[in-house]
Amino acid sequence: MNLRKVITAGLVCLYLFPAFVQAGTVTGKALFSGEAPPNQKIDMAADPVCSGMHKTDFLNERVVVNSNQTLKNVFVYVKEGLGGQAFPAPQTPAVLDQEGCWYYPHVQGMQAGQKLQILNSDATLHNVHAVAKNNAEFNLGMPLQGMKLEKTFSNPEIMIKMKCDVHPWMNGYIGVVSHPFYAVTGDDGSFEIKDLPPGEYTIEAWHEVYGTQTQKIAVPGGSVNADFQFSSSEIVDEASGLKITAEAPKPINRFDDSAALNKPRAKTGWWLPENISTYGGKLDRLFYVILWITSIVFIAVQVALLIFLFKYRDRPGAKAAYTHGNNRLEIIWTVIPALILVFLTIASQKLWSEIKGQPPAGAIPIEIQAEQFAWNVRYTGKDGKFGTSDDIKTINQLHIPVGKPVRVRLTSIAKDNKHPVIHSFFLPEVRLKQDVVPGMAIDVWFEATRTGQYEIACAEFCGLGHYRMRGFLSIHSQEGFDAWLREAAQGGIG
Amino acid sequence: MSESHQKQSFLRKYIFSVDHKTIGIQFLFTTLFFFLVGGALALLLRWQLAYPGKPMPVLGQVFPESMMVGGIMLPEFYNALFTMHASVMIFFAIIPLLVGAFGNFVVPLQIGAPDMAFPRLNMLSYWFFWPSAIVALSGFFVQSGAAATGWTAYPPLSAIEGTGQTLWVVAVIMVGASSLMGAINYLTTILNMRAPGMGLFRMPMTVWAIFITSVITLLATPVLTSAMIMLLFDRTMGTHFFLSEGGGHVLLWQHLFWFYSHPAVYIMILPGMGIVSDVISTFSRKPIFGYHAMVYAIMGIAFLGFIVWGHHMFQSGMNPTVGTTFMLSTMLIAVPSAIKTFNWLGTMWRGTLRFTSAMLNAIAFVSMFVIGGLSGIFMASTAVDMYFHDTYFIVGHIHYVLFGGSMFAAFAGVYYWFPKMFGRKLNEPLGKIHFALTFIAFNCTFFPMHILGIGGHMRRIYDPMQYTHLQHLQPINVFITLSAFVLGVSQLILLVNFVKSLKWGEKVGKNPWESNTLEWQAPSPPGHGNFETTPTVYRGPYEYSEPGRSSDFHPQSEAA
Ligand SMILES: [Cu+2]
Ligand SMILES: [Cu+2]
Repeated sequence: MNLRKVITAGLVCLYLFPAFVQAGTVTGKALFSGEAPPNQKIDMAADPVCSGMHKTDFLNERVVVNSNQTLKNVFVYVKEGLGGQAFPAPQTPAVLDQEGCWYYPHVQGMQAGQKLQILNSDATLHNVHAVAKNNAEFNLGMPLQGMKLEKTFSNPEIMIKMKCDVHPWMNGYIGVVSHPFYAVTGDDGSFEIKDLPPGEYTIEAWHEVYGTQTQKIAVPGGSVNADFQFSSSEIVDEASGLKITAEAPKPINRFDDSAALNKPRAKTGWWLPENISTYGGKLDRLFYVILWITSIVFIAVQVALLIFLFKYRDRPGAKAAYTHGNNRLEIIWTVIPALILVFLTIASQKLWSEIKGQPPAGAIPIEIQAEQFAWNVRYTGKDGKFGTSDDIKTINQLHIPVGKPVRVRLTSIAKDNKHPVIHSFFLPEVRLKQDVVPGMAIDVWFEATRTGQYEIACAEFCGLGHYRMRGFLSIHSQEGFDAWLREAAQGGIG
Repeated sequence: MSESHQKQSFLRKYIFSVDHKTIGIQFLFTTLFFFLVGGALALLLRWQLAYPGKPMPVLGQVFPESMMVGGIMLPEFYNALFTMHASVMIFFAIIPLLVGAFGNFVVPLQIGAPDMAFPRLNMLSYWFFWPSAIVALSGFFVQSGAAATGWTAYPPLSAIEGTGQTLWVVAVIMVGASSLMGAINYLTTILNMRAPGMGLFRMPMTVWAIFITSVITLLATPVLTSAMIMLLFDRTMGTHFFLSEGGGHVLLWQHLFWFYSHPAVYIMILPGMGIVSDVISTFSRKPIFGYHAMVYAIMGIAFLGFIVWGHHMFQSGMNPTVGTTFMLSTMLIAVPSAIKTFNWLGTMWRGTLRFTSAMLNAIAFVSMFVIGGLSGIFMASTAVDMYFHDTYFIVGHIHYVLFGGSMFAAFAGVYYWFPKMFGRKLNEPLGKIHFALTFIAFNCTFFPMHILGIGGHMRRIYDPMQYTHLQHLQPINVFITLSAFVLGVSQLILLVNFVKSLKWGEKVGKNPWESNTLEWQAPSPPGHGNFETTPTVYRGPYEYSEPGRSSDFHPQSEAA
């Protein structure tokens, strides 16, 4: 009976939509004119697991121009013309793999309602964050190699950006459409959309840098050609999403600060990490003072104890002394510790007020908004004010110059209607730690005494991803920092 | 008729008992069980810290997918583990072990009372205690998992996490109620039911310690309870006591929480100090050195303990000037602790030390408490704390106080009073093996944590290998974990000894340790009502090696 139903239904379909029988195919190429930007090398040094997986330079896939002057990674799909037809989602899932700290494929299409299987092939933590508008956003940690997640986007959306909050360079795009008529260009820049019923369609080609192109085409049944022409003179402004005419690529005067940034770090073994701030040395000295005092007391007490244990062990004929104490001794061992402790209090107070007091004049203002689980860093930009359009923003990357005080204002924020929570801003080598508290704006300051690259850690437990709330501190030479600011202002770096 | 009567009396005698000794032993069994549970939780999380992302052999396959995938621990589970480890150890093992078990069993006996002042309230205290632990642990079986915001449960995080957190809050309110009932009972009993002649300054140090501890409990616990209720309201009724967006203040929780929880550290250490004083004096065969100083030091700790809570908040965003005030009080609280240490040394000086298992554990307490006390000074300094706050240094510090201190004292108490509880001794050779292994493994486990902290290792992180600045410290993590496993396995020796000695231990008379305090004048174990005749007290508790006597001890109740 079931079989008969199926056959009947099939026949009805065939009768009603003869178009399917003689479906058409759209083929074409994503052509490219102009000069391609040099493919940028991705620096994965931030996560040694990532950089260790690439023996040679790893190039960004943002713009890949094939040898035949065509573009790779262009998403082509039928935008209009299918009417209200519904197409069942395929049973096989689309796959997004995180491998070598990159998303594969970089650009892909899938159907709304189809399952998306997300893999982690790396032995490091990834955090897959879908930046979606028409679909539910998600942001999930995948700590384990071989871990799989399944997600579904139920609504069409061009395009959903996938990014990893642990590795800021990782991103990929997924085009979600309501039908199976889409393709992504490959190494020869060509695409093919098959089984398209005859009709009039609008076809759109999307590229992450060069924006979208549309074409109206008539598909009669059989094959139709539709090429798209992209040009290096038109690019999409990342912030606004609008197409703008690219000025001739200004040769950014890249200042090479790698000598300063890669300055070898002092090896300290299983002890305090090297100190790199102006006040850190004083803190270390106070630590050593306390360490000396406590070590002397510790050794004295333990040695006395050991001697007593040996000397006064119970032996035949031994008799214990009969005494209830000695008031003079009580006074001595009350007053001496009290004096030492008051001395330590005074010594600490001096340093404490230096660190917690007013930041030195001329400190560079920086704002850090901590969220679960990232550090959003902001600079004022040219106008010297926060909250204006020329603010420079980074995620997890704190750049500062050497030898100049910086003032960091710490706040806690929350995205996606969640609550903000407490974090703690910890720079081990600077010896700085300060909780970041919702509802408060707390200022801290420090001045680095050397250049180099260090880590920012979250030291207050802030939830599931607390352990990977890690940022990077890059201490530049003054010239390097100025150049970095310039490049960042031009949108060159995140 | 007689049969049903017997059955009822079994229930009344062992289950719903109002006898302080039975309740004390109930507390002892239950808390030792939770001590093993808390230890097991610690071992699970130690595996992850030493071998992050590696499947746990054998055991890993037992856990459901929500906790471990293919034997590999998930961060959700790790977070629940460190939260529940601390909560179980603090709320369900150490506090009720020292106060509930020893307080109950020892206090009426040592003051010569037939029972506690309020026997039914006493029973109720136990029946609030163990269900609270079940409520908290049941979080592991709800969908969101157990509470996972640390035992400090800082909001806003604790206000937004899943159902397990609600269970945790309810459990803490219940266990708080249990402690309050106990505290009221100890205070009343000690003030009103002392035997004739038992002046306040003839009380053994254990009684003094429980007395002062009860005062702390009575003053601090209501604050914790109200904070918990506010948190419960924030979670369930949409109030904003601790949420900044509704006009609440995030730091309010920390003030209220630490106003209880700092004194709670003394709730966990003072009874231990009392027990250790009794044990050291007995086995040194010498009066305690500076009895009055010892009592005043306990009072000093209790008083100062209430004005130091802000030292947990130096880096919290609290006004730095307020931090300075708390630094001073915190530094000063080290003074009474120093007084106590020197007096214990003074007690052993020129004694004749008998190295029983109880004595060995008491000596370990003194030695380890010194480390725990001295390491605290680093954090007492506001400036140095800026680096060490929330690192493993503080994890090492707290374990030297709570394991090196409280737990060694508890072990000393177990070895010391076991004969009084059950009429039989624990096996001494097994006791010494247990002590030696525990002492070594304890130091190997917790001392290296200071080194991790000095290296900048943050606490409460699921995978230290995420940070390049921590990777070179990883061998220390492996060493700590291996030591922790030895430490865990060593506790099974105590378990075996305990169970074995209940049945086959060497039988003892009234006073196996030749001790002075009143409990040793009662039969072992004491019957209902404790003493055959109400004792009269003629002298202080520590008159050992009095010149001119043939025996080297002089019981408090001996007329001449
Ligand atoms: Cu990643
Ligand atoms: Cu955080």
